[in-house]
Amino acid sequence: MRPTRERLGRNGFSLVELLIFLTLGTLVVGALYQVVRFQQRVYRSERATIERHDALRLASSVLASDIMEASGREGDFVALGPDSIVIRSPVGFGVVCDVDNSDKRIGLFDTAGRINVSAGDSLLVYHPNGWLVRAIQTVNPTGTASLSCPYTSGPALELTLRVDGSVTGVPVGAPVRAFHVYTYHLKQDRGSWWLARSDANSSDGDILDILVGPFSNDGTGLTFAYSDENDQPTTDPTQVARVDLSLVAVSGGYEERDTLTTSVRPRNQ
Amino acid sequence: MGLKLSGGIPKNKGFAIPAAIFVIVVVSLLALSGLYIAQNNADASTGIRRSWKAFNAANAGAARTLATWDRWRSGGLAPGESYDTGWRPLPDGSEYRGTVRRVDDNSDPVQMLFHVQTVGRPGPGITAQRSLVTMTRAVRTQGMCCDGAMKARGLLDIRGTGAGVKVNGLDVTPTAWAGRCSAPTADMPGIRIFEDADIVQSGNPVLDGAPAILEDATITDDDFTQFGELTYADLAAAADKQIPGGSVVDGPRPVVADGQCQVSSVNNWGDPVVPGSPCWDYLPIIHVNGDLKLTGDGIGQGVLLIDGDLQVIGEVEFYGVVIVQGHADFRGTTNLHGGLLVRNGISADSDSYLRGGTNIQYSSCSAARAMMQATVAKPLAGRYWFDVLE
Repeated sequence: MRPTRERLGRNGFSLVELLIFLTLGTLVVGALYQVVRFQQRVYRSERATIERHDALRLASSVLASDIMEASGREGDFVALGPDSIVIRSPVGFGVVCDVDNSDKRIGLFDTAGRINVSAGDSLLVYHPNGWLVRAIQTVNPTGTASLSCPYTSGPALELTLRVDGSVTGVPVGAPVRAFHVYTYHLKQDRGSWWLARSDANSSDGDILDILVGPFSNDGTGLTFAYSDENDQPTTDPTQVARVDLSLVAVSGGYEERDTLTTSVRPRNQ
Repeated sequence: MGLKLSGGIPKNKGFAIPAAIFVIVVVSLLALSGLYIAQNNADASTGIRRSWKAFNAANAGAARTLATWDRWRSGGLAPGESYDTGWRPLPDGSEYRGTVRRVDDNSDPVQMLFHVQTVGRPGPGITAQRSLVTMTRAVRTQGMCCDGAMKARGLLDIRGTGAGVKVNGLDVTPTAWAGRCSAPTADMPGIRIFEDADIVQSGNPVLDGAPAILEDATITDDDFTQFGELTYADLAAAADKQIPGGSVVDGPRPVVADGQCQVSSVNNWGDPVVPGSPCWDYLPIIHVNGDLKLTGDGIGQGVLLIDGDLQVIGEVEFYGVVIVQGHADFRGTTNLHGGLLVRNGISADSDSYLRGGTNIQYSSCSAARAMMQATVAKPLAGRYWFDVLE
């Protein structure tokens, strides 16, 4: 059966229809493309902003928590620099419940965090005459009489440590803080500058944890200022009562940047 | 050109609807991606903010626990034991919960060590939590009491008429306390005074001790204000009861409700008379910021600190240590078991009186029991604040 003219007209497109469709379609697709491009730019920008904010938050959290627990008078600030800080960073905690003076052992309960020989951690042990600094020699040494907590109703011993110095006079109930001396500074990696943590005890000084970034490399990426109890600038680690911390996170080839400044007061003064 | 439409819309096969749907889908996806970004940012920000709020709550809780040290509950803990404060609100809506554990081994007579762990959270039901440990010392006094039933500077007027005045330095354990104290340690002078010529006696007071009166030229102001590591001011600041100067206290009595000692009651000074009663172990530090007049019929125990003058008119039975920075005037019926220190003012130029029916009986047991509880909480030296990373 041969189609009639009317039937052809209903099922096909005229040239005008086609032109109108192509014009409108081009406009719609072009507009969509612009919208997608714009959204992509917004997405990238927002994502970069989020990453910069995250970097600032994380970096300030890491630094602030270490600084807050430090005690200047007790020697926790090892070295102060304008763009770096060397500090006893807390890594573990425990409470002494038994002491073996002759074998230089202490028994701990309520342990938390990391207390590790292989990681090179050291200990700060409370003593009525002043805090002791001790290196851990052995964790849970074998072949020795076991220690135990003296409490009839209370916590049990969790960990035994042998240390490198005397523990005579350490009372039951003394807190123990495991620490590691770290240097916080910016370190270049793959073309960007990152907050890094170096093992200050390492002879090559090159054991690095890249923590977070990137930060500005123009000298403003990480800066410290130190004040004493009278809010006067100080360079004496034993006098530090406030640390002003400034961080500048960057993205997009260092064109986009956000700054965070905060003041941290060590609690253990 | 003729375009003839017939049959209505259903037969028209244009692109409008598919194109519109496509556009809607694309725009929706873009909007969703934007929303996702915003949500991520908000989540990160909220997480950090909640974490810091929890940290601040834990920190504020630690400070508050130390500032409002519960001497009664902590003092009753054996080594290793603990108590839980439960969740407590802070003004900004956040909360903290403290666990106070005694961690020393009872070998140090001067102090106890406590591990105070406070957990903070932004609000009820919010899971974000941070935990802090504050190591705390509960420090006891040293040398506060007693080297005599009464230690005094300045003029002392003893009028042994009427019901009679007794001052006895021979160590006695209160009768009802039998078996609750170790044996008496050593007898003390009845009255230890800077200069015995400052004592004026009339009537027939009964003075006894080893000796009854001892002149001690070494007595200084510090004997009334410095007690080892602690000062009078430390004790006053940490007192359980703060009474305004010039107050008249009428018959303090133990207050018990539902079998519990109501320590918040201002006139509850513990119960020394009925051993084992709910307020038996409550030995408060009571500080009067000025003068105090005691009237009525009262009983109490603990450490009574008076910045100004003390006047006793009623019938008072007190077990523990009384320190008067001004002068004392006992003219009622007083039974003091423990020790009395009267500074007679800074210049020691005012008179103190023992008259009426005043009985001051040295009791090492009563004094020691009061001083065991009279602790002041202090943070551990050097480092006391620990952020616990679980």
